[in-house]
Amino acid sequence: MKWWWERSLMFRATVLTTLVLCGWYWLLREASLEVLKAVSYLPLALLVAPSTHAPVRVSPQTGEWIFNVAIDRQVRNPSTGVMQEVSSIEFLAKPDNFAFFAVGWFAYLGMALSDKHLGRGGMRTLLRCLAWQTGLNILGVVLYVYVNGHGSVLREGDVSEWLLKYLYHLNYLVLPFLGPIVVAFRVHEEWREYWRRSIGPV
Amino acid sequence: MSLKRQRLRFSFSFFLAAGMLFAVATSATLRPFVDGFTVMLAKISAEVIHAGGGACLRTGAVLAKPDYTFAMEIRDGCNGINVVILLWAAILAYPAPWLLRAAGLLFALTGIQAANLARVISLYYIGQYSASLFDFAHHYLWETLIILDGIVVFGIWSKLVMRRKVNAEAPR
Repeated sequence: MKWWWERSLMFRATVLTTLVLCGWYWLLREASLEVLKAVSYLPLALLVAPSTHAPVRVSPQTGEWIFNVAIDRQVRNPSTGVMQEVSSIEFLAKPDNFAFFAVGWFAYLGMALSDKHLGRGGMRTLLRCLAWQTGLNILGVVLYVYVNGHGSVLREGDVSEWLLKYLYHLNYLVLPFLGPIVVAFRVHEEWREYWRRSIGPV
Repeated sequence: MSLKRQRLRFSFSFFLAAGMLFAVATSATLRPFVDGFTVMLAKISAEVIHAGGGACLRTGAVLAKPDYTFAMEIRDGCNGINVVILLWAAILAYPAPWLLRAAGLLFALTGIQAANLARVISLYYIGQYSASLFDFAHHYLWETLIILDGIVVFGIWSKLVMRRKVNAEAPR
């Protein structure tokens, strides 16, 4: 076990990421979701929400998050079949739906801590990478809100429906887990070394 | 070609290949194949559970405890296809002979699906024990571990390719 710990980055990453994720899930999940909501507020206001409404607020009854998405186009009313102008729509989502985007901080931390070279100056590197990871998490939230808002007013079979599904798939099922690894490979010495050994020179 | 350029080319090719493969995998044309693959994964999982002395009922992609106190459905994101696609994109982007690439694609599929089988079976038992532990393992832990598995599988394959190349270039 000790041999594996000292020799294998992946073994350390597996153990430490598991421990960090456990700590996040049972102790810090709700706090991390609040932080995610706070840091996403401005990007949502600038990129997705109509200027007349708050981009996100919390339902006092259910605790769900209520998002406003600017649409500004003609869409067909599914019950009457009549085209009508929609300026914005509102939708609700459970805070837990966003845990996929908050988990990136902690998955990254697990990977960063498994880097043996993370010593002096490590805190600066950690903070820098957490800032990058925050950017990725915000991007995930903004895309999620955009796709859900616009997806609800699309006609069945529309080409843009497929595009939104494609974006949703990448954003929800791929990027939250690929992001932390990419950040670790970009910055951390031992991860970079692993990458160098994996891809070249060829 | 300089090392930096080579790596840039790899990164560009990787993201391009991944984008295209995900576009194909999420298209309506391929939907029946993806669903069929997911059902096959459920079948194999049920067989392995039975072979290990466990009890499990399978309907389509749903695995259920025989007394129906617990059931789970394997869906997109749980069938390992996402990581297989990422790995395939990395293998296609890597400068290797096509025969070795083809072997790599097969190795990647096997390596990821072996880990994914472990994920499905472990989740089947974890779910019977605790709902919150299931949620944690299902949504967050296994997703991260399967990505790490993908990196290991790619590392093994690329080392084999490099070794073949060194051997081929060594003076006889």
